[in-house]
Amino acid sequence: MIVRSHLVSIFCATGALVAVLMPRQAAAVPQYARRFGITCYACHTIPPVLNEQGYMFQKLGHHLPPALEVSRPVERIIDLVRKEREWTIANNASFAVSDFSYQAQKNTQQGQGSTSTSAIEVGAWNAYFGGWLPDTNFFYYSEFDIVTNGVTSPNMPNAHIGYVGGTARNSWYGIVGREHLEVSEGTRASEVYSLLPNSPLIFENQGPTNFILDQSPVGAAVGYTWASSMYKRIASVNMKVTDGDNADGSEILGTSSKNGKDIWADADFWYAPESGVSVITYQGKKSQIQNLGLANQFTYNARIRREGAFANYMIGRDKVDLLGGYLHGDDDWQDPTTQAPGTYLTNGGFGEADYYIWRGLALASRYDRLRQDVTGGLHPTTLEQWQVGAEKAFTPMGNVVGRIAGGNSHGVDPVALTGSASRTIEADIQFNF
Amino acid sequence: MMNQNVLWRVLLTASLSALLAGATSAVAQVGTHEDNVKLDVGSYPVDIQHGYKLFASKCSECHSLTPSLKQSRSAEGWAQEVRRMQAMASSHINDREAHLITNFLVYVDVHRSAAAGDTASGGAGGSPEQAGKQTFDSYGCSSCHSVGGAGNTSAPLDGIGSKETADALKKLITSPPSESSMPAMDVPAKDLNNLVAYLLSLK
Ligand code: HEC
Ligand code: HEC
Repeated sequence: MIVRSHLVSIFCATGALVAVLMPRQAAAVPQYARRFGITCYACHTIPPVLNEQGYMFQKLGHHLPPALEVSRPVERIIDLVRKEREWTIANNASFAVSDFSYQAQKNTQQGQGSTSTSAIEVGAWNAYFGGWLPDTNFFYYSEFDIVTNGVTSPNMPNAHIGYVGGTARNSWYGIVGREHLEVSEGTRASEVYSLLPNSPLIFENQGPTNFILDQSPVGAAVGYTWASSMYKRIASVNMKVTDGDNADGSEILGTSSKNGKDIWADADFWYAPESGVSVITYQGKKSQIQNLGLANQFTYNARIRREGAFANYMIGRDKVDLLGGYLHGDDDWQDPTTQAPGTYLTNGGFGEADYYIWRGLALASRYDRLRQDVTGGLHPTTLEQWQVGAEKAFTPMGNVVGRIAGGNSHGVDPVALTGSASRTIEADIQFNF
Repeated sequence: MMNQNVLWRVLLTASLSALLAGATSAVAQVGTHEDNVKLDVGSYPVDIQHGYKLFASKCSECHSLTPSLKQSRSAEGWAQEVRRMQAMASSHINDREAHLITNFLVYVDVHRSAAAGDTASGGAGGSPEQAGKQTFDSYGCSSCHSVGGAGNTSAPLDGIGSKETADALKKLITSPPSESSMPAMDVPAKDLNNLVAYLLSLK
């Protein structure tokens, strides 16, 4: 009882603190908004969920998509470059992006009773540099993480340089360097970032290799984007070839003997306002260490495949967004005990409804379901998750956003065949300056 | 012993309501935040008020409303600017809305310049239309034009306000078409704005 009332008071205290700390007016804004004198909503339905303009901004190499009209000549990328404001550090860097989070979780494991945990942490403290090289078609983007998941561990997950050519209507880009999935890769339903603190289950796939779609590879990407007048339709195809990543997404640096090669391709289609479809495919081959550090440790070179389709339909103007996605996984697998080769199949889907009450406030609810079938397992198992939550921006600019969500998940581990359930309440708040 | 379901429900409800409470205060703040540009919306004609509402909601999505309220453009210039905003990705502004917003911006532009002219000329007092009437008289327009039968009735200007836009009027006065026998009148900007406001009131 004491523990619980303690929980309640921590929670209320966080709420109160959040309310007190909210600045009335943002003192500073992230670099892109600063550069163009616009609010975050120009590119985000609610930060950091990108809208069509934000998507185009990314595809045009960090230049604002100009007005596209039938009656006007289409601007070339270099015209956009020439229109750019003067290069300054302030409009190319975002110095303090921080994320505070609170999580309370109760887990019930079959045959083991239940445990409760709660934690408040400084989730992330990052600096971003992103912009264009003055008077050229080159753009760059890099991210320095100082604190990640509450731990101070400086690293640089993103560092790439790109070139964008063509016109605002028909553009292409090439990028080399190191990159995580950015906030958006594809249309709304395939964005890894969600209004809920946990992104859809299928993006953090449960395969034996713990392969996650958000990797940090080093490689090259190319893409082509087409937009119709008034951006009523946008179509884009993108491909990425990378090397040097562990199967679990950790990085291979230095003299690792592990190896990983990946190809990623996606095709996106947006239709105004804000609806879209994305199809993706991922094919990779990565050495996978099983039973790491144990006497029976062994390595095998697993093939990892993902195929998925995602769609969203926005009803009204930024009112109700219905999203759904499906991802099929087919990975090589070797039994940890017998080393017998086999396959690990996953079929995952989610459905989500987001309700944008007004600018800067949205409610979201999502259902996730993942079927997993492993060679040697007794039967396919299912993992289900429900979540409801809200996201709110606390400044007119939209650069301070908080999220809160409650969820429930339960399922059976396809290998150990034990059931577990958990309930979670999470809240986080992000400051972007 | 408190039921755990109840606990979780209480937590969630409490936090959601905290969020919503925060939200309501923020909305009022956005609505009133106009960076020292004062608009007396209540005094505008109904369709202009409608235009204002659309402007305030649609045009604040991506940036502050202030530049639009401070900048000066011709009617055609505003139509183009609004059209340009409309043609941006994610702007969600349809043609009807664009039209109403343009009318509002032109109206505010004309009236603001007129008001500015007022103060600049020592605060003649009264409305821009009244100041414009004085300008009309002082520039000798009535030697060739009449209003309501007063002046030279060979070129009456009655009803001109419903025929021409602010921009067209400015042009007609300062650089009339070469085939016209109307002389180009060298009227400084602040007087011109008052004059146009006056002519626009002749409906
Ligand atoms: C989709 C986002 C978006 C919406 C909605 C939008 N604007 Fe803009 N606006 C921009 C951006 C981005 C710029 C700066 C870049 C440029 O001028 O091309 C801008 C620039 C401007 C400028 C020039 C500002 C300056 O300092 O010179 C004006 C005036 C303007 N907008 C007016 C409006 C009006 C009026 C509306 C409503 C009809 C509107 N905007 C709606 C995105 C938007
Ligand atoms: C020397 C005589 C003369 C003076 C002075 C004069 N105008 Fe005119 N104006 C004309 C004539 C003549 C026309 C008709 C031109 C035509 O039909 O092509 C005209 C046309 C106009 C029109 C267009 C009317 C329409 O129906 O399209 C406006 C508006 C106008 N004048 C305003 C003014 C104003 C305001 C002044 C004072 C600043 C002024 N004029 C001074 C002779 C004059």
